[in-house]
Amino acid sequence: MERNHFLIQLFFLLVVAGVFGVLPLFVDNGTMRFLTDFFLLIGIAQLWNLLAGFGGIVSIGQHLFLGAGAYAFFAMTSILGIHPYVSLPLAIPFGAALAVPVYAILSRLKLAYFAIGSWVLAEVMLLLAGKIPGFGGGSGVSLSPSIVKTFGTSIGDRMSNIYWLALGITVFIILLIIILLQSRHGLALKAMRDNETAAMAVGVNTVFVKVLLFLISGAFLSLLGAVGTLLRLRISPAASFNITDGTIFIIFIVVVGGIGRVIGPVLGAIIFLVLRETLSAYGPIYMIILGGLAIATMLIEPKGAAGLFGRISKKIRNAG
Amino acid sequence: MTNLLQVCDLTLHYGKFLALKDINIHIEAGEIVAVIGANGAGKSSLIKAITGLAPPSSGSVLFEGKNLTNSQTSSVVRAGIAVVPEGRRIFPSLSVEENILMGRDVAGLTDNSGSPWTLERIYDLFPVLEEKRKLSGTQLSGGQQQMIAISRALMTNPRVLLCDEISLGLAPTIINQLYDQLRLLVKEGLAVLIVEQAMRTALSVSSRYYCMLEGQISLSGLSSDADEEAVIRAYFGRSV
Repeated sequence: MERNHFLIQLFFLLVVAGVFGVLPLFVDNGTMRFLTDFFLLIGIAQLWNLLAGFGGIVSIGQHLFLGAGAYAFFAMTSILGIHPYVSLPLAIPFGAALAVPVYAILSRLKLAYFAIGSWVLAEVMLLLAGKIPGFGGGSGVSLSPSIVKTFGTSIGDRMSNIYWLALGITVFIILLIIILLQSRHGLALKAMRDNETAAMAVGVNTVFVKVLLFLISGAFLSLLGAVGTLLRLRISPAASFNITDGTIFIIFIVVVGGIGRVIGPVLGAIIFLVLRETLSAYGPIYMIILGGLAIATMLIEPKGAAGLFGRISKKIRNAG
Repeated sequence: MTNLLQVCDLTLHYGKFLALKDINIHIEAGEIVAVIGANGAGKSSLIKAITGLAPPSSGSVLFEGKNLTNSQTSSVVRAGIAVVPEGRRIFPSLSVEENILMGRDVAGLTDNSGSPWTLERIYDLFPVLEEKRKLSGTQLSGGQQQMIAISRALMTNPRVLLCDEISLGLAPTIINQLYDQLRLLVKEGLAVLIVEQAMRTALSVSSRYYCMLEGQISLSGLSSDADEEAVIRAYFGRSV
């Protein structure tokens, strides 16, 4: 990536972050909640894209880290009594540490087996979460009011703080990814995206790169899982380790937005939320349209909305 | 005396299939050595075994006296053995310049690590790449793509360059140009191992050769002394 391109990306990211950053001063709680959801979706999708779009690691069990992060946050705040603002950043090393054994098991599996293995591991974690004493069993447990109130005594204050947390973390994740792509490992990552075998043949340490990506992904998913818990105000196996919200919709977002591009998950999240807001009342039809759109994208424009925009802007430039 | 790169009694299996059997070859600084053989003779398997892409079942790969057998490809490249892979393997989403710089990055080198290989030197060697440095690597002609692949390998600052079928699909004049450049590099002390199906080309540019047949070395010697009939027998396993 050229330096100019990197600086332009950085500039846009900071401007957009700045605009969203002042929004809580003007909008109502419902809008803030909606946008917080939007940020979390982008953050989770960026991390899935980092794995699949660059590292060629297709996991369908990344909701494992979201759930584990949520449970770890509950354990730290409610059981160990650690301050919530300290517990949140601690979710990062927790997720990274959890990613080590998870990857050690999964890395022995290839492609489809890896994907299925990741899913099975996540389901096992879901079941285990319902069995650990002190976490409310299968129905889960609420965060205590004192912990919730650390983030603001009124709903408005709390919502703004969670909004800023989600925005800040997602911007940080995007920043981390564009810095990674700009770094010494950036070309290796893009080469792996193009052709992993060829990248290995010319000397890319594909094992190191994959471990690094998996650790980053696990670490930040765990943090996002903890922040998601602040929105829901409770942990439960079914909601915290939710495959539909934590993985399936995320795959949709990345595929439709454009896999292997940083802008992809952002576009995908916008498309997803527009569809959700307009169609979710129609029940099964909504899911059928989501699925159909994902398959159509893979068949017609595998680079997703990002690829489509790229093609259109090229045409306009050539015409001009 | 230790050889720069020495392959000792190397045997390689793919499952039950025996791809290489008791291969012994060596290469010194400042020479071009050719490995010739027909399709399926085991030439590419030999490169894969040396670079760690296919772990050998027995035998060893020694580089400057250091045992590199079963090392990862990335460590082999960092040690000083670079590959120009078969089919060139240019990365389409990277520009010409990024494809070249990737070599430096994978070897863990930076602008300031004192490697004799810089972009300027590459562009001196292949001026056409400088003109096209912003294009996508795959937009270039076959010969130019081969120059990118060689440049990418050189940017790792290798002592030994392994070239897998670099003449494949290229016009004779382009092949000559590429080999002329390799000869210049060899004069500066680089060791080049070329793997070729094109027997006459390989013999004309190399100082020594190994001929492979069915995973074994069937003949070897000085390229200038090679008796064409004997080489053809060793190449095809029969007279033609």
